[in-house]
Amino acid sequence: MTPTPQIELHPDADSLNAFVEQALAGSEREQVLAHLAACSRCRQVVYLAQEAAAPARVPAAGPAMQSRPWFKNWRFIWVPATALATALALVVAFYLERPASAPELAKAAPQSEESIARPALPEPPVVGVVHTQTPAAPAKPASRKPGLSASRAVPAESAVMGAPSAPFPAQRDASTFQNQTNNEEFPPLGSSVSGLVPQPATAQFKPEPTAPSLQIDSQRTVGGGAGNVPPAHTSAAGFRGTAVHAQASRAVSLAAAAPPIEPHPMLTNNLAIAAQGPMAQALTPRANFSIKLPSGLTAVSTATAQHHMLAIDATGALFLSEDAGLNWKPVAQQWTGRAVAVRVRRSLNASAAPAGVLELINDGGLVWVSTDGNTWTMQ
Amino acid sequence: MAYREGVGIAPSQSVEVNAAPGAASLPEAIHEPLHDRLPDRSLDELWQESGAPAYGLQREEFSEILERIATARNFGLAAGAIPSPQQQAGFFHSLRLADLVLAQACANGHEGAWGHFLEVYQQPLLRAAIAITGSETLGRDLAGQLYAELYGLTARDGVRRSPLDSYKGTGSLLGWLRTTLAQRHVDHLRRTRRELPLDDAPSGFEPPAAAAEAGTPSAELLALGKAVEGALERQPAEGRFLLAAYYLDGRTLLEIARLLQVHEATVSRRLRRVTGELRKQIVRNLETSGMSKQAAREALGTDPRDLDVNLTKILQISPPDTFQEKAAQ
Repeated sequence: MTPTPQIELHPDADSLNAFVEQALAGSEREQVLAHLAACSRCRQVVYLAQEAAAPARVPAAGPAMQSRPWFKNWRFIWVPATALATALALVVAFYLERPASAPELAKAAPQSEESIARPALPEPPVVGVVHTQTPAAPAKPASRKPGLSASRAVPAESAVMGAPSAPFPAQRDASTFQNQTNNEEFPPLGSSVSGLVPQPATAQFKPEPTAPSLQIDSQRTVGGGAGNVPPAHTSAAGFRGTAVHAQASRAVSLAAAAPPIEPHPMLTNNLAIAAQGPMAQALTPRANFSIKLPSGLTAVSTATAQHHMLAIDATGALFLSEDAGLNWKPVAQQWTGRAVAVRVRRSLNASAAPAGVLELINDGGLVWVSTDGNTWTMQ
Repeated sequence: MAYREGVGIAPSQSVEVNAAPGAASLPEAIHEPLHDRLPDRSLDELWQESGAPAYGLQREEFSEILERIATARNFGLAAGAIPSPQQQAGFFHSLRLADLVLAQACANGHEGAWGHFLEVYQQPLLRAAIAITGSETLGRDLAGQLYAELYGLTARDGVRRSPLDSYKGTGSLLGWLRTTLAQRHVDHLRRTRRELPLDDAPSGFEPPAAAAEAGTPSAELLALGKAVEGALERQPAEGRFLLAAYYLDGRTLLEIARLLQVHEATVSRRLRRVTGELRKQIVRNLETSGMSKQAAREALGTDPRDLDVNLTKILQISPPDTFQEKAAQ
């Protein structure tokens, strides 16, 4: 039979209704569907029948939907759950991987400029800790309650100094390290003054003349005990250390007035040992603001791996030191943009991480890696 | 089909799905009386469950109704297939027996059945008629007209005929009533549209200017037209239905999805697949007609207004195994 476009035969109402209600079996449904594909009249019928059924279904479904809490409807549970999980993952990923932004470095730069502007101080080859001035911290006489003063002042210092290091994963280890050492740094009230001194800041670099107590602590921590410290040095440190840490917020002015003190010989040896370990990078956040580079600027980001020490100044120039910061040489730019941070590659599995791999991050968040500090390749 | 002659609207001829036009085409097993094939216990259970005794419907009459429906639909199987006892039992249990018995009792003029029918279906039927017509006045008229038909006010050969006789319990009785209302309304619209004066009738077709100016279409356009026709004819029923519903009727994805009871995205995905297959098939058809692949692809960019292809006409050509074939038999 030759098919004709005129549809003279239609399924009866029972078949069309059964099709709408999905009550037809396979072969019957196929037949009705084939007819519907060819017959606009029956398509119109089924659409009208379905539209007429829609308002009848809505009131019936209404009370059931209202009596059921929305959160018990499984179809909608996954929507907020997925959104929440995604938001958490994004936040975690952002704070794990976000490089130091320019505003953060710019905020750190004036603090380092403060130490540069001191004309009376001799230029130390290796710099130590500079305490930032926080106006909120009241200056209290250190001689009365040194322990109490220190316990109030040092956390303020930690908060300020720890801020630039927060975005870096490698420096997050540093904060962990700081927390660990803080137990030693800030013993309970009534402990000795030397126990209040922050240790990691002095472990990598020669201390600033203004903070003799830091030398003592570094010797105790890295060198192996306070017994190596000369008694006279300890007594001097006891006084000055109390003053410095009890009023950490105005430590800069105190440091400017203090006489220059030569670095302890043992500290230099300890620095080399400390600089080789993975914890060396943890010490940089506190110290890099005082490192004076050949460019005349101070370092805004430093990293140390094995015998290589890297520093970036405020203009983004990279400098390399192979003698624990005594001598610096500039590194030719092999990256795009402006370098904003350097760090040691961090891995969750410490044993699997390659030793001494350094990373450089530019202002665009891109990462370059190097093993010797001279040759950089994009990651 | 009996109600068609009874009603005054004279809708288009309707046939039952899988309806066998002659007894010769039925398997031999189906000609056996139902009580010989269905165990008495099962028949009694169905009879009791349906509520037939409440309407005075005897067991033998009930058995005849079931046999008539089963024969007409071949137990829901394809034409010519022989149902197993399990398939027969499953078919009978799938029927809306309560609705079926009520409809038959109403068709027989049982007062109690009519009372129950009006109590249950009067308001839903009126609401459905108003929803279909979009007007309360027209809806009430349509519902009232259907009530008159259902009650069997029309007679043929001196016998009252009710459309409820044609209800076979495949779907719900309320759905059947809605579909019947929709059929009446659509047929009324189609009939009255033909009676509109030509000045008021909307112009449904405007000849394409390019084709009219060009006169005889080029060989490429003819080949493209044939390729499109061939590709559409090769589409399965569902694909052609989707194309017709979406492109010809202008239905939304949501409307089609509700009708097919699938997700809206599923309809969108199937439509994309159908159109993709259609495009590939057109290119293949053009290549078969001697066109190069590059030329065939370029031909797909032809302005559709230049093509002498009536998609409505093509899509209305049913495959040979549908109702026209049965009517021919």
